[in-house]
Amino acid sequence: MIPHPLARLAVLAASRTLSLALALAALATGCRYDPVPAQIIADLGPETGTPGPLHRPGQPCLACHDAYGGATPALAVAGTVFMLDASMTKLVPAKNVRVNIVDSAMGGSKHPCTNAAGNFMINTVDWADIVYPLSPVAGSHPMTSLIGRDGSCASCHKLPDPKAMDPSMDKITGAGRDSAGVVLVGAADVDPACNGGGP
Amino acid sequence: MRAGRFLQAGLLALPLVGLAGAALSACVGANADQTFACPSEATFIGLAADGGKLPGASVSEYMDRRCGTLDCHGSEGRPMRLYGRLGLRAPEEQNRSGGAPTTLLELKANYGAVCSLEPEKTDKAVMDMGASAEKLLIVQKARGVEAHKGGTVLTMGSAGDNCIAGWLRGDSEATVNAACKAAIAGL
Repeated sequence: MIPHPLARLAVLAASRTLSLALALAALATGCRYDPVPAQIIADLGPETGTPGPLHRPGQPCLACHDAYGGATPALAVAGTVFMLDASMTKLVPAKNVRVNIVDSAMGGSKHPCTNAAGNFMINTVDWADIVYPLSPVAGSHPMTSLIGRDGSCASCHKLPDPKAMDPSMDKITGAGRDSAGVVLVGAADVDPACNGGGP
Repeated sequence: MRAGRFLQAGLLALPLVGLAGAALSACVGANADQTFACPSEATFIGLAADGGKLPGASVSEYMDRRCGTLDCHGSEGRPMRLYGRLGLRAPEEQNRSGGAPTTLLELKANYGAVCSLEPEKTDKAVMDMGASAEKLLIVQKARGVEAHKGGTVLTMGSAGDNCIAGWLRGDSEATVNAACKAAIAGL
């Protein structure tokens, strides 16, 4: 039986549309997937509480809160500031600490405060014209080096990792061969003007 | 039938691709021992042959501060990996970032990393007395002429530019190390 020419045309058009859709879908997923950030996100582990300004202290915020991760709000710079407890053996959140960040543009600076989790954040919409490198100061502690291009403090200021193979790693602060250790301040660095530590 | 022919052609092409790959990899010197020239190691690492510290700052010192942060070339996964006191530390030594001063092993590793970027072209720049130095990728990327993830880092003629490009051009040790010192002061 010979099919009607119109039916053959319809089948041909449908198969072409399907091929095009499949090709576009493959292209879209192919462009979207980047193994390096995908692995960083996977390594962060599951969410333990409710996503919000207090979640995941000490983790690299921009792994998710950027164009690739897609979490909202998109963040320009964000991180966590810690203190040592009275025994000097445990990290605790440093709340109400002001973080002053100066960029390389003339007059570009932001001054967020840490919240109850020690987290601070600057939304991308609030610093769209940021120019790297950045020079930050947490409380009274200026960073010795520069931030080259990563807005997540925790990408370089890593939490101690019990599984790390680095024999030089400090088990309290996380300082090691590829980490400056967490951002640490003292009790004197709390800024009463922060009062509540909003972003 | 047609698919079978494609498969046959593909199977025939596979060994040829393998042979071509082997031939290419064998091109790195007759005995894989070809060496390439690179500008002054002493100027780069800031140490004289007798181990004494040279005046000013070294190229490595400047690059460690400006390029070798842990989120840029001080990252394990990035090409032209740089080691230094304020960035990544060499795995052979048990130093911490921000701890002990940059070691000789790290300085020499940085020299190797920079010289190995474009060995043939760097060799040519040494042979032509620096005439082609500014065409090297390291200068082109730093100046933002070539795509660079870290953007434009140096403007032509700046202290940082005179530190890196000056070293590649073969400028005097004193001139380069003074430029590097001025560049670090400006960070």
